[in-house]
Amino acid sequence: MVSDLAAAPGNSAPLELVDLHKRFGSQQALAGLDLTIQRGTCYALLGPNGAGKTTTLNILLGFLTPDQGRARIDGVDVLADPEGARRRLAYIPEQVQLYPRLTGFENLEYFHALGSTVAADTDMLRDCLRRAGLADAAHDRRVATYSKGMRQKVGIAIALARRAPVMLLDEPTSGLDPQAAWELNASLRDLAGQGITILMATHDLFRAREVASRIGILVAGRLRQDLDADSVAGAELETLYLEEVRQLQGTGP
Amino acid sequence: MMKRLIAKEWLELRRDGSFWMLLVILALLAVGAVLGAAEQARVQHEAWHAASAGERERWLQQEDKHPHSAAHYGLYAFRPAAPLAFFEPGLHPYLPVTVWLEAHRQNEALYRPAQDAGSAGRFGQLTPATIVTALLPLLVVLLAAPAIAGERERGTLRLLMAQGVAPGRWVLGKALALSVLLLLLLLPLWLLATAVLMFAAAETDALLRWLGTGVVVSLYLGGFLLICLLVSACCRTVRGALLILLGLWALGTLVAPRIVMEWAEWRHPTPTSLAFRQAIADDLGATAELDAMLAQRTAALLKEHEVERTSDLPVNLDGIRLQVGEEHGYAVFDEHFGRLHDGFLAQESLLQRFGLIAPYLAVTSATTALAGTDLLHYRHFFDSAEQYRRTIQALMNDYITRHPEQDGQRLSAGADLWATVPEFSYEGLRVSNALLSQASALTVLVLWFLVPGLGLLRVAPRLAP
Repeated sequence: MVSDLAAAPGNSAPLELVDLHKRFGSQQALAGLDLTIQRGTCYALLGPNGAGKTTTLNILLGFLTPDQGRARIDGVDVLADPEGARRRLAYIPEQVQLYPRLTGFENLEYFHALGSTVAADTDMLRDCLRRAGLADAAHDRRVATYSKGMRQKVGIAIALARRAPVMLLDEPTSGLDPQAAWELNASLRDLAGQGITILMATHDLFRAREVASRIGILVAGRLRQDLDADSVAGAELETLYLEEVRQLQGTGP
Repeated sequence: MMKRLIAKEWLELRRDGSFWMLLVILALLAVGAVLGAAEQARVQHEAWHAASAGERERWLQQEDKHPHSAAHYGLYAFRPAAPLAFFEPGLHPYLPVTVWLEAHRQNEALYRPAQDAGSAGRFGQLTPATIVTALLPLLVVLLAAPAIAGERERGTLRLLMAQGVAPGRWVLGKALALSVLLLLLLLPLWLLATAVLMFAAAETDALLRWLGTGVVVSLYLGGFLLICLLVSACCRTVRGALLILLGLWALGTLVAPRIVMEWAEWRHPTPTSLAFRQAIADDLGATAELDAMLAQRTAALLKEHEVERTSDLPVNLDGIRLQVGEEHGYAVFDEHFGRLHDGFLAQESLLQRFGLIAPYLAVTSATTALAGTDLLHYRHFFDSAEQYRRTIQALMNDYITRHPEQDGQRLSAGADLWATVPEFSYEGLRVSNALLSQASALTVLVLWFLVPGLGLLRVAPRLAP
């Protein structure tokens, strides 16, 4: 399923970050991040804790204002029109938090009704839950009884239902069992194949290489590597990643 | 969006067992309080009716006697219960319900219903008004404190905002949803109280007062809801919001009113009962003015009837002397009772203005005034009873004046004269008077609603996830 927005590419890249700087007190979270992601690309942003991954996502979501630089989603400037930019993206946080007294389906219906400009009927929403890997029997159970993985799947369904041209994912497979993680990765590949642009912040090298078509290594707020996933082997990626981290920490291999 | 928000909030509440438990407890308390108060009001009304009729009968059936003896025979005037006393008894239990009317003296009123409260009285009254204005805000706190802070703490606010939901509209939706829920929850109680009122007194004035009470209570609870949402919007955790709001509730409802009341009594002191009576007695004992008044009236009579000696006057000078004595007393009583009541009203006015710090004072003042159970209404009754006393004295003294004693035979009157005294029929204050007396409290309540509302409008669009 391809969104209308995704099917109508504009002139600019769907995701564009230019010279982003952000400082929290004495800590430089982003130090001139430049990143352009083309349509239909699934981009894995790798980095250790504190590398600036979450800060990047928060800027794209309009929750943080950069000290310098600009960010555009599908041609919309995040700083100038944060709500307009948000309308063009779907977001899956690391910990999907839902309303425990509502069922999975009711949660999806509520988030979709409040946030989406795309009309949806019951069948379409249930289909999103199925595509996210949530069994039919769980749709109408209260979320209070869900495991973390099941909540994550509802979060994925919320994102799928939006049919947005850009998806932001923060450690999306965190808490998922291997089967669910595999299914999610398959879904992401499928979505990228349909023209959706995906930015995934993670420190899971294995999953990143499995699902992404491009991989960036972010360390100390700078993009140190921007790699074609097909051209780098798993072991090579791990070596590159550790080298970048060690260089920053000033310790040799 | 609003419809969806309301539906979702309702669904969540419907599935919240603790909310229902709290609601059932509050509903039972409220229904019990309304029915209990209605029954109490009915008993009081019947007692008032029986006592008034009995007293009238006693006056009419008194034996033949000198009219001044009849003036001393006296009678009681009974204060009727206000129609909305079942909702807000206010000061009714603590203010006298009857006043003894007799010659020469304006007595202090007697008998307070609270004297009948027995040992239960020490626990205070749980009236419908107390439940609505003191306890219901607790329910509002429990409902609204987690409304935004809870979503922030849980992480659903972040997910919602990431969906492109405009935070200003979302907060407005939350406020509307909670308002609708509160209205739905209050509606049964409101209807029950209206039914009780219609059954007891379906007069336009009472209904207007009830409507006014509804507006006042809505403003108060609405303001409370907006403050709760404002605090919730500014707090990172539900615990923080609850602590602040429960603190505000306790301060505004339990602590500040007592402090302000103490201060009002200190600022506008009223005399002790003993000092008050002594001051009146002192002024009544100063006879120089009375003698001058009497001499002036006698001279006027002599001139009017063109005679030189009082024994030649065609009127009974005893009646004139008695009436002049009464009129001398009126000025003394008006001054002392007026000053006393003005002191009480000055305290009341101060309480209204301090509603800015503790709006509970403002809402209590307004609901009490609208219920007709405040000092202003009491003073109106007291003044009406005094006017009635003065009417009786004037009628008796006039009869004496018009009937000079002949052959040293003592004057005597009977049922015909007693029947000329009209029945005491107390017309209470109109709702417009009650509203005018509450201008400060009503202004405070409007501000109490508007200020947090404007604050929320300012904070909501900048809501942090």
